[in-house]
Amino acid sequence: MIELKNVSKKYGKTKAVKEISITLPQGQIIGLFGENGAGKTTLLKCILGLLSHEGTVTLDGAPITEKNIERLSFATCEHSFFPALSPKGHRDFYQAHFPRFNDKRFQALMKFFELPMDKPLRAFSAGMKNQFEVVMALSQGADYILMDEPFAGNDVFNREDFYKVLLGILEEHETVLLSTHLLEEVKDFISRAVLLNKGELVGDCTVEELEAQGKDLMTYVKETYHYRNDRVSRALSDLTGEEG
Amino acid sequence: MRPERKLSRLLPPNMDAAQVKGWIIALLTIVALLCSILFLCRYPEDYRDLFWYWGSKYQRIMPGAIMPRFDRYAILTVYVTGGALLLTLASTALLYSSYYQGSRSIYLMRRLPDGRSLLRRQIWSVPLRVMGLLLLLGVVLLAATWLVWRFVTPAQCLPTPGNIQQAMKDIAASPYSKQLP
Repeated sequence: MIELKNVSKKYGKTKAVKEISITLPQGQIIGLFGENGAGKTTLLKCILGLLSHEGTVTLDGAPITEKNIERLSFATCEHSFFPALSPKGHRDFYQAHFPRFNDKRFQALMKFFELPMDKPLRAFSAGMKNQFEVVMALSQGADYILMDEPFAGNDVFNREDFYKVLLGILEEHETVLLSTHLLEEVKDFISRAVLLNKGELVGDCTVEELEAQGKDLMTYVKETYHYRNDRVSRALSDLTGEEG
Repeated sequence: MRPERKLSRLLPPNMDAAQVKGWIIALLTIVALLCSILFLCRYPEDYRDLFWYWGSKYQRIMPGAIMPRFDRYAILTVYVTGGALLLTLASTALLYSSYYQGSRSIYLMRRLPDGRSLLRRQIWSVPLRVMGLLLLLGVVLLAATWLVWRFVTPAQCLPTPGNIQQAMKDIAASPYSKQLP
């Protein structure tokens, strides 16, 4: 289990993440939602130790260090692969450094996305790069797979098919923490939603809890963010001068 | 194992080993050429100044003529090699920046179980080896220029204590010095 206790991150005087405390148990697909600048990426980087922060992040009670970092993988829209290496080169690299690298899953996902094995990554299209980033994060053999807008720029068919494949391949011990704007697309795949707003944790709810309350994820998110249903009609009436 | 393959194992994965090999060869060649050219510009001029010339065929060592000390030539090699060493040291910044080119592969490096030591190795291994080669090249160039200075220069013109004393006597005995007040 990953446990965050009072995690805060400041950029100068701006607090990007404010005292967040949550736990991420094994075997969940968790959606991390929030508008741009809500602190989603910063939070993921704090968990991975890529950013210095206040508060503590532990994995099964131990701080995240070189000893246990291999249990976490990361797919980011900034990409973390080596552009000069081919997928084959990456496979060799991962196999050399991650003892639990899942070659079978790697091969299957490469085939699923129809990605070439011998081309350097810099020659891939933006969409293919995103796909490859996700392939590596899922094949590393990590227990916790952190994804930050992994499919920004990919077409909808690829994304939908991928989520179906993701559900099919994940093992019980694997946790996915998926940061995305595409709430509608992932609402049927996630088991829990964590909501951030201006760096603060404003919602944390499992799908079962929502079902028990008779709510769907979209309603929960709109309520949490105090979404105003008349926002569009008011804006249009202001612009056109007509009554909405 | 091919040198490029061996080199690629020491470099960050984003670096092109063939290109780096080219840079290393170019750097070593430039250092060797520059040191040689500078020596060849300075030494023959000093050598010519040791002689009196009559026409194009006849020459005689000037009484009291002494070749400058070897430091005058060695300093050129020291400056050029030192400059190349600093450049090589600065190349570690280039190697580090390669983890930010085209992606943020630094995130992957920092997620590796042996990430920190691997990062250090990939950034320092090649520059340190090149610095070693540069030092070796500097020593070879100094040795070569010393051999030229020592054995091409006429023995009586080398700045040894005996030769300097003799030169002082020659100067004192010169008819020009007798005209001095």
